[in-house]
Amino acid sequence: MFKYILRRLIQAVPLLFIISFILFLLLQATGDPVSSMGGRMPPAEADRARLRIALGLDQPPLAQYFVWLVGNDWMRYDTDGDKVADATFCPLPNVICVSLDSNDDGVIDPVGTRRGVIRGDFGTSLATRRPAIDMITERLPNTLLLMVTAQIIIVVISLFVGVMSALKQYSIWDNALTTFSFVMYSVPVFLMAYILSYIFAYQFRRWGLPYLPTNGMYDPLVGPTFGEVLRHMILPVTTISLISIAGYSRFIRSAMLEVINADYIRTARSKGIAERRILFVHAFKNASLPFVTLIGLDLPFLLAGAVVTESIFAWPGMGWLYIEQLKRSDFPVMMGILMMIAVAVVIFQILTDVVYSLLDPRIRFD
Amino acid sequence: MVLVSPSFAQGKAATVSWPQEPDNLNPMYSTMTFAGYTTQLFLAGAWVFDGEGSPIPQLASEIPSLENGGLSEDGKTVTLRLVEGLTWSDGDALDSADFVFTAEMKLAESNSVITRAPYDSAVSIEAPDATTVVLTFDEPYAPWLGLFSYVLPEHVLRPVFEADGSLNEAAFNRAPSASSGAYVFQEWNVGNFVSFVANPAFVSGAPIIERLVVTFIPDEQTYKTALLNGDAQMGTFLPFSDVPELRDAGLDVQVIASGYNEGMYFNVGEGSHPAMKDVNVRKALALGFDRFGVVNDLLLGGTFAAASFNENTPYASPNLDPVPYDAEAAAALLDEAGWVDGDGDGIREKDGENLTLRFVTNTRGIRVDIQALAQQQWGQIGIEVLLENYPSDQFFASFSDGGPIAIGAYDIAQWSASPASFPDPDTTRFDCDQIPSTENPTGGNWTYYCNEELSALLTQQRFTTDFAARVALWHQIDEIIYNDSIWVGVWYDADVWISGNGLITGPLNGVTPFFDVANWDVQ
Repeated sequence: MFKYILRRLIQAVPLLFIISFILFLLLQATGDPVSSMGGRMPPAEADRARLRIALGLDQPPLAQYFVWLVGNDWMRYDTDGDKVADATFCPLPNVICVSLDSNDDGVIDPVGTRRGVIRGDFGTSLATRRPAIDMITERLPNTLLLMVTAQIIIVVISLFVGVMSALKQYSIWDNALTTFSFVMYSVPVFLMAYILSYIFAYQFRRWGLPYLPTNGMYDPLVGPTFGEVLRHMILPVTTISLISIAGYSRFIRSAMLEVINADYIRTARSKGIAERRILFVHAFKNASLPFVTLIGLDLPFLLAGAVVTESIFAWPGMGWLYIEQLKRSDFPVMMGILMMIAVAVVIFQILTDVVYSLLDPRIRFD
Repeated sequence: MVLVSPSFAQGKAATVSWPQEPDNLNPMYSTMTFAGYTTQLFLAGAWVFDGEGSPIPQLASEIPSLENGGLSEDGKTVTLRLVEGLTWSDGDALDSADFVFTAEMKLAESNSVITRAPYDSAVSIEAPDATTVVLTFDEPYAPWLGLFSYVLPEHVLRPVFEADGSLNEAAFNRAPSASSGAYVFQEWNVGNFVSFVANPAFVSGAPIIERLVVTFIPDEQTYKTALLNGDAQMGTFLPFSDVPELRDAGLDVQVIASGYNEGMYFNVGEGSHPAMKDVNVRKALALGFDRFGVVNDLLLGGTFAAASFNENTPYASPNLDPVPYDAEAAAALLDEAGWVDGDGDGIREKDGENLTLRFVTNTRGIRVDIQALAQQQWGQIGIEVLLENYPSDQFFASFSDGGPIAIGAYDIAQWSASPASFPDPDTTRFDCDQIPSTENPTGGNWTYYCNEELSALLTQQRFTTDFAARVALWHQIDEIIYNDSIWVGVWYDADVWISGNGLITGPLNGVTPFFDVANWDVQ
C-alpha cells in the first residue's frame, strides 16, 4: 500500500507540472490585467505600459511562466566576463529569455524577489499587491466551513433518501422523492438561491416573520458569534444542499437497487439473516463503492468553493475570490487556486483508492 | 428579528455596502471606485466637493484663487495654505511635509502606482513652511482641483519606504495606522467588512456616527435585498431600473453626477468601415437610434438622454440637445451619402460594398440589450450591424495587447466614460496626437478622429485657468464633437445612491460622497 501511494505521488509530479503549464498559458488569454485595474475606466495608456513593466507582464508568456515556477531572485550571470550582469537571462535560448532590463535603459533591474512556486512563492496578486497564497489561505477556512457543512448534510440526507427510495421502490414515498429530486436537480443554482432568498429573507420580513440574512458570514455590528454565523449559513448551505442531494440520492437509489436484487443478497435472505443486517452490512457496503468514487471526485472541489452561491450570498470564500480575480485577470491568485485544486484532486484520488481497498477486500494494491 | 442595530452598544453605528471589495486602502495603488470611496473615510484631502459639486476646503484653509494668491497670474503656480494645527489620528502633526511626501511617493520609480498624475506635470513641489505647499508647473495648470485629493502620513510610510525601497507591500495598504479623515481604520475582515471608528482629531470635528462598517455584496439582487431589508443602510451602483422599487420602499435615492456618460464612439480610423469616415453616415447612426426609448423603457426613466460628453456640468454646451430619434432623416442622410439599397436585400451598399458595421461593447447586460435594439433600429434604415462583446478586461485592453477598441477594430463602440480627473473636464479622448499607432501605442484617442481645430481647443483649455474662459472653450469643444458625430450620447450615467433604514445623510456628490459624513446621523 505504501509503495502504491508513493508511486502515485511520484507520478503526480510531472502531471502537476504539465497542468500548471497549460493553465498558465490558458489564463494568459483571459484578459489584460492592467486593462482597467478594477476601475470604471482604463488607466491612461502610458500608465498601463509602465504598470505592465512593473508587474512583469511585459515578458513573453513562457518567460512569465518560468519566473512563476522558479522565481527570479537568482537570475544573474555574466557571460562575457565584463563583470556586469547580462541584460537577458536565457535558460533556454530562443525559447525562454527573461529580460533583466525591463525598461531598456541599459541599467539592469535590481535583483528580483520572486522565489517561484517550487519554493512556495505563488507570486503577488496583480490586483491587491498581496501574496497570492495569503489571499487564498485566508478564504479557505470560510469555504471549508460552508462546503464541508453542506457536504455532510448532502451525504447524510441523500444516503437516507436514496436508500429509502430503493427499499420502497415505486411506493408513494419513492415517487414523491423521485419527483422532488428531478425538480431540484433541474433548478439552476442561482435560481434556487434567489428563490430561497426571496422567500426567507425578503418576504418573511414583509410578513413580519423572523427572516434570514442574505449576505456575509455574520453581521459586523453583532460579531462572529456561533448563532450569527449559523444564521448566515442557512441560505447558502440550503442552496448547495438541495441541488446536490437530488443528484446524490438518485445515484444511491440506483446503486442500492442493483445490489439488493443481487444473488448474494437473495442467498443471505434464504439463510435467514436479519433484514437489517442484510441491508446495512451486505447490501449497503457494496452499494457504497460507486458512492465513494463520486464523493472522492467531488471532495477536492469543496476547496474551490461554490462560485455562484458564494457570490450571491456574499460568502467570503474561494469561489467568490476566484470570480473576482478572474474579472481582474489576476492570474497569480487564479493559478494558486487552480493548482491547489489540482493537488487536491491527486490526493483525493489516492485516498479514494485506499478507501476502496478498505471497503472491498478483493482490492489489493501491492 | 432585527439584523442591523442602528444604535450599537459602542454608540451610533451604520452599515454602508459596496458591490465590490476594495483591492487596496492606499489610494496610490487602486483605481477602483469603491476603494476610492472607502479611503475617503480615513484620508482627508486638501478640499472636497459639496452637494453642488463646488470645492470646499478640508485640510486647506481656503480654496486657491487669484484673489487670495493661491493661484498665480500666469497659472503656473498653485499655493496651498493649510489649516493650522492639523494632526493625524495618532497625534503626529499633519503638515506640508506630508503633502510633499505624498507627491514624492507617487513619483517614486520603485512604487508601481496606478498613475503618477497629476504630480508628474509639476516642475517642483515645495513646502516653504509647515502650512504652505507650493506647486510649480512649466505651463499654466488648469486641472489643479485634482491635486491632493488625499495625503499620506510621512511619519508612518517614510520608514517603510526607506526599509523596503517601495510602498508596494506596505502594511498601511491593508491596515492604515494613521488617519486624517472622519474615521480611523479599525479592522479589515477580508471578504466581510472594513470597519472604522470616529476620529476625534478630524479637522471638521468628530463624526456623530461613532462606528461605520463597510460590507461587500457582489450580487446585484442580493445587494438590493440587503438595502430593502435594512441589512445595509447605504449603497450605490444599482441600476436605474431599480430606482422606482427602492423609492417605493421609502429609501432615499439620490441620482448624482459622477462625470460618466454612456455614449457611442464612432471609429473613423483605417480599421473602420469606409462609410464611417462620412459625417452624414455617423449622423444617420445617431438619428437612427432611439436613446429616449432606452431611457424610458430600459432604464425606467431613472435618468435622461445625454447630449454632451460633459452632461450636467458647466462645461456642457447649453446649445445642444440629445440627438432625436428620426429614422426618416437618418435614411435621407444615408441616401445623400450615396448608400442605397440597390439590390433590394434590405442592406444599403455603395461601390459594391455593403453598409455592414461592427458594434462592439463589453458584456454588461444593459449594453447587450442596447446592441440588440440598435441592430433592429439601424436594420430598419438599411444598416446591417454585427454585434461583438468582450469581457471588460479584453474590451479595454491596450493597443499593445490588441484591445479591440484601442486598435480600432470596430465601427461603433459603446461604454461609459468620465473625464480622468472629474470634476475637471480634461480628456485626451479626441486629441490628434493621441491616436494610437505602433509608434504611439499609448495614445488614448480610440476613435482615431483628428480635427486640428478641436485639438487646438483641447490644448488651449488645458492651459486656461480662468474658469469662465475654460467653460467657453469647452462649449466650443462640445459642439464640435456633437456636430461631427464622433461621440454620441446615450444616457446621462449618473450614480444612483441609496440610503435609509435609519441613516440620515445630506446631499452627496459623485467625487467625494463622504464630504459631510461627520454630520451624518442614525435614528
